[in-house]
This record gives sequence, C-alpha cells and structure tokens, in this order.
Amino acid sequence: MAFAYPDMLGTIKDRQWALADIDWDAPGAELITDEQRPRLAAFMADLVWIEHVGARGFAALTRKAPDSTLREIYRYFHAEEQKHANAELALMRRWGMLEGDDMPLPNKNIRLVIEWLDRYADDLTLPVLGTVIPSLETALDGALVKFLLDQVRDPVCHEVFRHINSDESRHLAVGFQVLEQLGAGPARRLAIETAGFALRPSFALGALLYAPLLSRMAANIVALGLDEEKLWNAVRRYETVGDRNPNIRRVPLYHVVRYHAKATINRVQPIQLAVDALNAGIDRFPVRILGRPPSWSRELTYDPVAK
Amino acid sequence: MTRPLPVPELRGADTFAGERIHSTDGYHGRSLWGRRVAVVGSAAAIAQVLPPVVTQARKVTVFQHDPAWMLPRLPIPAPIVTAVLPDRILHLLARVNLGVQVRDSWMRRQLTPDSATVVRSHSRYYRALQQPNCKLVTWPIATLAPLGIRTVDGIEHRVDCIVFADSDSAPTDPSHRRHHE
Repeated sequence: MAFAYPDMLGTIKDRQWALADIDWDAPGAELITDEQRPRLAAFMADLVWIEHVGARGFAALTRKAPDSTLREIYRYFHAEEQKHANAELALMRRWGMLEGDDMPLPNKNIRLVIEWLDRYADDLTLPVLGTVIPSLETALDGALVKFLLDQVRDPVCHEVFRHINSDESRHLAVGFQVLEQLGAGPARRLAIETAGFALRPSFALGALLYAPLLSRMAANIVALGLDEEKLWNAVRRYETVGDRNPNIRRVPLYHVVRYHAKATINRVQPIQLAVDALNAGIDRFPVRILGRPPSWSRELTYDPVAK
Repeated sequence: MTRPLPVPELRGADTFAGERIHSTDGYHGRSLWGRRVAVVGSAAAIAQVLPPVVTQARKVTVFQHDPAWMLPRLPIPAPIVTAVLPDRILHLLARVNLGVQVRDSWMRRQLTPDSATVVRSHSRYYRALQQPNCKLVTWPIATLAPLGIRTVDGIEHRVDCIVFADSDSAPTDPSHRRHHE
C-alpha cells in the first residue's frame, strides 16, 4: 500500500505535546543518585546537542523535499527535534544539572558540526540528508534512549521519553519511506546524484567531522555503561529495515552509512585509527576562533512557558 | 508549503481566553500599550500590521508562516519598475535587501522563501522584526491555549492578545507583484 504523507501529517498534528503538559516538579527527581549525576549530566548534554543538531538537519530537509506535504512534515520534525532537546534540557534542570540559566556547552566535535551545519547544511542534497538522518535516529532511538531509561527511575523521565519515542517512531517511518523512494528512481539518476554530492569538498569536510563525532559518542556511551550489544542492535536495526527493501539497497550512500556505522561499533582498522587521529586533532582545535555560535544553536530553552 | 489553516481552524482556537483582533476588521484605536501581543499570519500580511504594533506593545511575538521576498517602497512609478526590471532581477534585489537589512544568518534564513514567490513592497518589516521587544517565531503552531500559543517546539508563548494578520489586509505594490512557477 502506498505511503500516505497527508495521513502521516494529520497524525503528527494530532499527537502534539508540549513541555507544559509535564509536571516538572513531580516527585522522582530525588531518584537520581549523587553517583549517577555527573555521568548522567555529561550524557544528557550530549543528547541535547545531538537532538539539536538533528533538528538543523530537518531544517535543511524542509528545503529539499520534493513534495509540499513532505516539506510540511519536515517542518514539524524540525520543531519536534527542538522540542526533544528542550525537554531533555528541562530534565537536566529538574535533576539539578544546570546552574542558573546556564546551558550545557557542546563538546568540540559538536561545536564543529554546528559550525559546519550552519555553513553547508542547506547545500546538502536529499539523498545525503535522507540517508544519514534515519541512521542517527535509529541509534538515538534504539540505543541512547533505551540506555537512559534503563539507568534512570525518575517517572517524569519515562513520561518524557514515551512522548519522544512516539515522535521518533514517526520520524523513522517517514525517513525509511523517503529512503525507499530515493532508491526507486532510475539507476542513472542515482549515479548522477551520488557523484554530485560525493565530489563536493563541503561533503568531504562534513564526513571528516561526522565520523569522529559518531566514534566519540559511541565510545562515551560505552564508557558510561551501555552494553555494546545494544549499540550493535541499534545499527543492525537500520541495516535490517534497509536490507529488506530492494529500493533502499539501491541507494549507494545507504551502504556507506551502514558500513561506517558497523565499522564504528566494531572499531574496524584502519578506519578507527584515522578517526582517532581526527579526534586528537579536534581536541586541539581552538574553537574560540569560530566566534559566537550561530543564533539557531542558542534557541534552546528548558522553560515550558515563554512569558 | 501547504497553506496555513484559517484562524477558526487552528487547533484550540476556542480555548484562547485573551483578546483576538483580525487585521481585516481593523485594530486601529485599540490600545496595545504595554501588552504582550502575538501576530499570526503570512509574512506579507504581517508586514502590513507589524510596525505600529511593535511601537506600542511591550512584547511582540511574530508567528510567521510563508515568508515573502520584500523590497523597500521605491519612489519610482510602478509601471516603470514593472517594465524595466525582469523577475530575476527583482528577486535578486530582494535577496540583497534582506542581506543588507538582516545581519543574523539564521533570521535571514527564516525570512527567505522556499521558492520564488511574489515580491512584496514594505519598507519597515525587517526593521520592526529586529526591535528588542520583537521576536520572530517560525515553528508551526500546534494549538492555541487559554493563555497563549503553543508551538511544535513544545513551548507555550504567553500573550494577552493575538492579532491575526489576514491576507486580505496585505495589498501590494503592483510594481513588485510577480508570480513565478
């Protein structure tokens, strides 16, 4: 049966929730132990920024979608990713992880990705965005969020992530549908599109920032105690859904993203060596020279109400 | 982009407890002094009503959908402009105008139409949007709530009054009115 984007848009509109729907002062915050707090704060900060960076990816997609309904769906997804980041920030505040009005600082990998997205995201093509974003969403949905819910007993956290998971399931449904459509075109078009983005220097630069970020995130989360098996299962999910669809298997970048995700989890050499070298370079990069972060990256808020 | 819902069809339209003003009904004479005001509509319609609202209200939140290309009003007769400038040049000028008037790159993006749309003629829209008491919001509206407007990014924007900028209130200078498909 054909995928009905208008029905999906209707469902998305029906399932809206707001930060004000959640009682942020409800009991349960005390269930976060002092031992948990520092590592959980680091994890949440990364999660907030990954959601926020994902939001910028959806913003780029709103300019690339071939269909007006799909464009509108991406407008909603862009805002929903921002909502997830806002809600996660509100959880951090609830757990006493933010001092005053301070926002968590992005690590250097994310800071560079923010800068890159600000400059080049809108130049990315639909095949690139449409292939990479479902991969990140699968990892986020399948590994990071499950890990968090295993670790945290606060009922408000579970309530928030019930909403987030529900949103993400729709993001994935649309993501894989778009990926299928990308692969359904003529082989000649696929080849031209692939060559079109692969030859761009901005794409190569993006890959040089994306690979170390993914590697660092995977290493950080394993160090925090996530079972590597779960991370592996998240990658397998992307592969399983993709591989059972012949059209998705025709998308060249799908195979690159799938292989890269597996190589990251398995620390395949010499890829890992190259990525570690890039991360060592990024650690020494003076991000101050980038100046003020773009204004879109300063729009996060934990406050459910703007007065 | 799909067309935005007419006001009565906005979700939760009946729940908002504050004052609603439709720009087509005329809001002149109503005092917005010291109030928190939301202005909802397309860029072309909002541009018609925003400058005076910003000068009066304590805080203005602009919920803009459908951005539009804009040029300042020119002291040249409309037919001359229409005859002399092809559409491509008009859009190029509109892009330059946006770049000159709006320094923030993200705000420029928020104000850039997805496709080649009609070029409108307004001199004060960008300036009004950048006033310290004015905030531009381009997230989709999820629903109206008793005390304000909830956007899809999960935030409720509390306002005392909503000005619905209707398209009918947005006449344009014919010199800058071109359609591209």
